[in-house]
Amino acid sequence: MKKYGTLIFLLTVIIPLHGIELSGAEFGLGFHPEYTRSFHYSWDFFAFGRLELNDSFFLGAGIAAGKTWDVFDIDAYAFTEFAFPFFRKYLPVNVKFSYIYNGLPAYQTHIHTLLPVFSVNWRWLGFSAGETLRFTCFGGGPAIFEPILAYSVYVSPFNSPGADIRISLANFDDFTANNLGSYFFALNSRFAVGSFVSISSELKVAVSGNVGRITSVYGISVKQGIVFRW
Amino acid sequence: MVALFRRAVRAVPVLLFLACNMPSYYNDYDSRFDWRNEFVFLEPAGRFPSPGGDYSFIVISDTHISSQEGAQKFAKIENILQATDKFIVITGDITDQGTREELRLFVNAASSLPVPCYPVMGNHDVYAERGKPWREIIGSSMYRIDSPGTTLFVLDNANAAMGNEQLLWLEKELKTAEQNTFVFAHENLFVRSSPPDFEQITDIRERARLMSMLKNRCAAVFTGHLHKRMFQEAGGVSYITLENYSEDKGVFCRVYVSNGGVRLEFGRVPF
Repeated sequence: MKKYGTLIFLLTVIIPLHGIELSGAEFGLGFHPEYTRSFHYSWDFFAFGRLELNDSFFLGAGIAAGKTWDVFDIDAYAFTEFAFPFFRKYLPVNVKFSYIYNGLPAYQTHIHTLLPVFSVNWRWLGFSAGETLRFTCFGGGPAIFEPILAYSVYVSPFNSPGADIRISLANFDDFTANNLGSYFFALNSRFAVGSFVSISSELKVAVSGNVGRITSVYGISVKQGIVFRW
Repeated sequence: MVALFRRAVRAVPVLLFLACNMPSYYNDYDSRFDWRNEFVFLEPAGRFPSPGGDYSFIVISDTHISSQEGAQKFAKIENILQATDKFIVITGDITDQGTREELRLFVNAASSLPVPCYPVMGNHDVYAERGKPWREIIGSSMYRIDSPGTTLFVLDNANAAMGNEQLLWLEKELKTAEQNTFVFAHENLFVRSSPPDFEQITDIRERARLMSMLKNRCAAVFTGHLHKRMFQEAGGVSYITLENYSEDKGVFCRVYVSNGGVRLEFGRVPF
């Protein structure tokens, strides 16, 4: 069994890394105001970066800092993602492992999340599923562990190098991993304004109370940013 | 143009999902805060209990009353009451659909009990007309009950969020709360397994804010909703999620309150 595991590891990880080269990179920053029922106005500034190696490995990190209601709020993430090389034309499977930190020092709360996710990303459609492993440290006490199913689905009706529009439904993104019934609808767009520069936007509507007769809009947020890509 | 149309068609399933849910996204649960501390069902005597020094109270959850039979089973809680039990709290989903008929069944059964009964609004209780019958028959979904040495806060998170106004209100009221403070809400604040524990408070930041407020200021927080029992200790507060009373389980929690602290005891009502 161990022999097969080593073989699969060699085929999927080591061989694609042979002759490693940087196939792409991007850096972005922006502003993110938010209105929610629980905090009313919140905002943060965010920055992120991403490296693509051999079109198969992706490394990324981001940080956001701002205010939630009247307290300081800091979020950060780092991830590594790998695109399986087999049958990519028909079944483009990626596996992504993220670490997310959400800190609310004024509430003595520090949340550490590990998020392994499998995703299938076709050009026009994609979905992903994984498990949020959340560790909440409150008031210096022992970490509270909570496992939560993570999911997302998107359609990308307009998709070209110059313009990309995506509609998605998910309970997690780069900076946050929510509870199962706390999903959001997002409309993402990115338009190239030069050979290296794009304008990115996100309109997100968060929902509380799951699907059903108690479902209600929980909040709305906008992300506006600029992305530099090489 | 044809290509553009074809691409647009790909978004149809998502747009359909959005459209199907859209009517339910409009919700007036923020307005429930505006009529806090209004009592229709509770008699004045029930709003100011005098439990005395050492006493106990009963917490049950998720009675899901939908028929006369369900109301009768709820009324059987009387069979386990002791002399020390001074009141009962039901942490939400008292009815199955939140209709006037179901709420009246509950009110009739609760009125026959020898101790006051404090209802908490659950998600099932707002199914009918977005909670309008509750306001007519029960009154507020968030309120405070005071007695010498004890304060109870009944909160409304039936829509999986408490909201800024309610949290600000709680923060202010906690300053004048008695030594033994208990908080009651419906939806669970923590999960233990995935995916069955699917619905809980929406925003994890809101939970952080609530926990920060209650730290060393509250003895216990009782919730229901999941139909399973869970415990969590954090910041000197016990967070207890109760099993359902419905489906002939009859689970109850007796909370003993004394100068020495708070002690819990679980039992089942024999049907």
